[in-house]
Amino acid sequence: MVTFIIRRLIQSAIVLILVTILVFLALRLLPGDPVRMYLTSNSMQELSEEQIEAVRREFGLNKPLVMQYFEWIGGVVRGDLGISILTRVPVAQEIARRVPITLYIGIISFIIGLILGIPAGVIGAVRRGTWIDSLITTLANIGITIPVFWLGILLIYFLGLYLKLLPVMGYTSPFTDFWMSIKQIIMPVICLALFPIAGNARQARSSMLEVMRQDYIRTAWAKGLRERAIIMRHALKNGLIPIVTLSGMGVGTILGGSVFVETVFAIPGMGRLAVTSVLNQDYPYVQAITLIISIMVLLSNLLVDIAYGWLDPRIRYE
Amino acid sequence: MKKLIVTLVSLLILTLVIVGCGGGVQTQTTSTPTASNIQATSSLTVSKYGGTLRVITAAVPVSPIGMPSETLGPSLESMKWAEEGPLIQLPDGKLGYKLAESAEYDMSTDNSGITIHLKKGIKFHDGTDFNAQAMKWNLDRLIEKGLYGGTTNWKSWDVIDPYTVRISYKEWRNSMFTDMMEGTMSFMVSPTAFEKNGIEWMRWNMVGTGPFKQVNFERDASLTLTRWENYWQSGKPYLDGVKLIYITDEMTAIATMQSGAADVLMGASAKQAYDLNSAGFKVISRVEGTTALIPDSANPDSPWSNPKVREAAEYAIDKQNLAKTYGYGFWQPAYQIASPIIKPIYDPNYPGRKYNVEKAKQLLSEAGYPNGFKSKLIAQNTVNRDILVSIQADLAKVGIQVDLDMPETAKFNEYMFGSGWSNGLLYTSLFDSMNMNNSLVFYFAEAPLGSCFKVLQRPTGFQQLLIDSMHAPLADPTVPVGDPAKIKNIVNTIFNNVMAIPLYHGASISVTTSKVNDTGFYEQFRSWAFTPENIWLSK
Repeated sequence: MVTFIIRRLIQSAIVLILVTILVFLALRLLPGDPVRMYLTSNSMQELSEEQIEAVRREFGLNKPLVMQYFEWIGGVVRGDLGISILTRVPVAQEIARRVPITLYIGIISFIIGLILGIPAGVIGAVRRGTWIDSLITTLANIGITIPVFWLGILLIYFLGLYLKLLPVMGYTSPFTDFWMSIKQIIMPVICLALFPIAGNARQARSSMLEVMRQDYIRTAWAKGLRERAIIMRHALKNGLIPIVTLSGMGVGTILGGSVFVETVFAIPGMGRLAVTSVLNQDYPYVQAITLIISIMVLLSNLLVDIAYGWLDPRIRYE
Repeated sequence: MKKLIVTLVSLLILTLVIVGCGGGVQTQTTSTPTASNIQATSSLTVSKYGGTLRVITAAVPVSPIGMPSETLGPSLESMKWAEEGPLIQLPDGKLGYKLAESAEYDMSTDNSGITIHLKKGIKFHDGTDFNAQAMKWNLDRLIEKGLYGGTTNWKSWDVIDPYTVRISYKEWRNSMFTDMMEGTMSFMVSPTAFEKNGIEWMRWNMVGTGPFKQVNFERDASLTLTRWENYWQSGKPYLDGVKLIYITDEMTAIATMQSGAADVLMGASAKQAYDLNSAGFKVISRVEGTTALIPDSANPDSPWSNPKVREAAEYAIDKQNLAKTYGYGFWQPAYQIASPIIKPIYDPNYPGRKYNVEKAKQLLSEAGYPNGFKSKLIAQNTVNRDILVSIQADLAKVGIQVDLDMPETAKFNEYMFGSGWSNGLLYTSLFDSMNMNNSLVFYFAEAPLGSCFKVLQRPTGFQQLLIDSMHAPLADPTVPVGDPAKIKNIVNTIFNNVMAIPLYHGASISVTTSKVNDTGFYEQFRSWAFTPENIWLSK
């Protein structure tokens, strides 16, 4: 297993390097000049070409692309993600402030996606054809199709304005005011968790139906085991493998969803920073955010692979 | 299954640990306000109630708010609460004084300049004095950074005495006295705070002379300010504090106002203002700015190089309907480049080219395009697409088929300030300047004097008109609006040659609850300039 993990880490590092090259080049191939963007938002008066060139030099954007890339990647290795063109703040410092906020909401959504989605799917499979199965399937289909930003606005109006149960926006650290923090993240978490809940429920239902038809389950019934023991001990563990795969992919979905959710609920997380930075072509931020998200997705895929071995001992990586 | 539960619980704990390590939202704090300060404020015997004002703005500062020399436009709404400058510009174009007591203007061609006498007894939020040395230090930073084009005309900036500064200019321009009022150039911050804390701290911590001092700033979330107890205007400000909440989503901003979580929505859109007005909120607005289409008239292969085609397009667009539909009663149709707030130039009875489809078709036929032609309509991707679709539909009625091209900001800026575009109309909002020479030169002059629209055809002698207008003497130096006759001549030249097709005059709008008083919104020339020190809340 250790060899497998090392091998996967090396593969991940290669993927990561390729991602950095792609992002670096893609940003620079985008039409438009970030220096002009910076200057034209700044001044309503004319600036000379010398002044524009001076700013380009200040941000190192006058150097050849290869040199710019190696300077950036060298900094990354040293933990220096560069300085923002617009805010002049060290990117690493800003990311460090934002990542915990996005992870806080993202991980809770992820866990809720598992806690609610898997049991719902299992119940649907076990009670196949009953009203509860129909209800779960219908809700799961709705959950998969609802756009996150639309749901966000709907929740704001219903829970925030109409029922006045929750604050309509904002973020408070749980260490500053725990209950306010919980109140503020309920709506964002509902938005982010809905897709994983629905996806997990659908996947859990179909894989459980598959497993429930297997001979060893029939044998377990024939042995007179209780339903609970058959489902929890024998069926669920085998049915979990495709769900784990889906959950791994769900990390990317949640991080992507945070872009919308953080904008709608005015949460100062990484998603909102990503939107601002892309719109402003603030290269250092966009590069760093992509790098962090890539690392998170690669790590989650690695965890999924490791989880396979735990769930199904027949899977050996050596 | 137990293992699964244990794993999930561990993940939850890990989440909380990560949040804990991140320290939640880090705050950047200036010199800490003491409880006694706040208490003293509450016990002030003013007839106007204080309290904390909660303000929503979509203008999230994307650049440093504490160093005016490095600041971009959207940061102004945040800075105005804590930072001030020597001069202000009143709606009639006259210079007014804030940190300055008075000013003298030298209009001689070889030694032009402005001598600014500063008020005495004004202190920065760190307790140090605002004086001529402090002002010079701020001007030094502007020059050092070199981001403000207007400073290229400065010959020297000198301390004359402890409370007097003179800025001398290289050449006479009638707009130069307004340099100190354009944008953040004018804002003064404490040199001592800079020396003590360094530039990185200073960038995000405002230490100005304004009525409120910064308590903390959470980027993309909020800015909290508290009353500055040593503010130079005795008895002011009335408010105990201000909290700016940064919300970019329009629906969320409306919902926040309706939920009672905010008192003011600054920089509202027409739609937001309409919705909130219907819900009983107070709307303060002013018609200003001109949104126009710029044709690539200098490209010989472009149909837009023919003035009759440009005229036809202007007649084809129903501006009245455009302003009514998308401006919700706050906008006005535009028939001239000058906006209504540029009072010396704007003519409410300007003839303009009113909606006339038949005339448009006739002009197109005369131009050799009886069946119309294909072109494109370029606009930044942040523009309301519906407006562009309406223009597209109007142009289609006379046979001009335009495809929409909505690039991101950087690419759009490339069109506008770079190499330009071909066979198309560029949709853009033009900024207002009370001395209209500033905006006319910026948009319509050829490089190196101007910065925009390389593909715009300028009639012969147009550049000279601009230069003459810039250098014309002022009838009254305290009203530096240029020579209205010369500027009107340029505006007419733009109209006659259809160099731009004005569409509508937009509006600056803010929405407040009924308990917010004396905001001063839109009472000065600049839409971002207001009087935070005068605001008070009804009980």
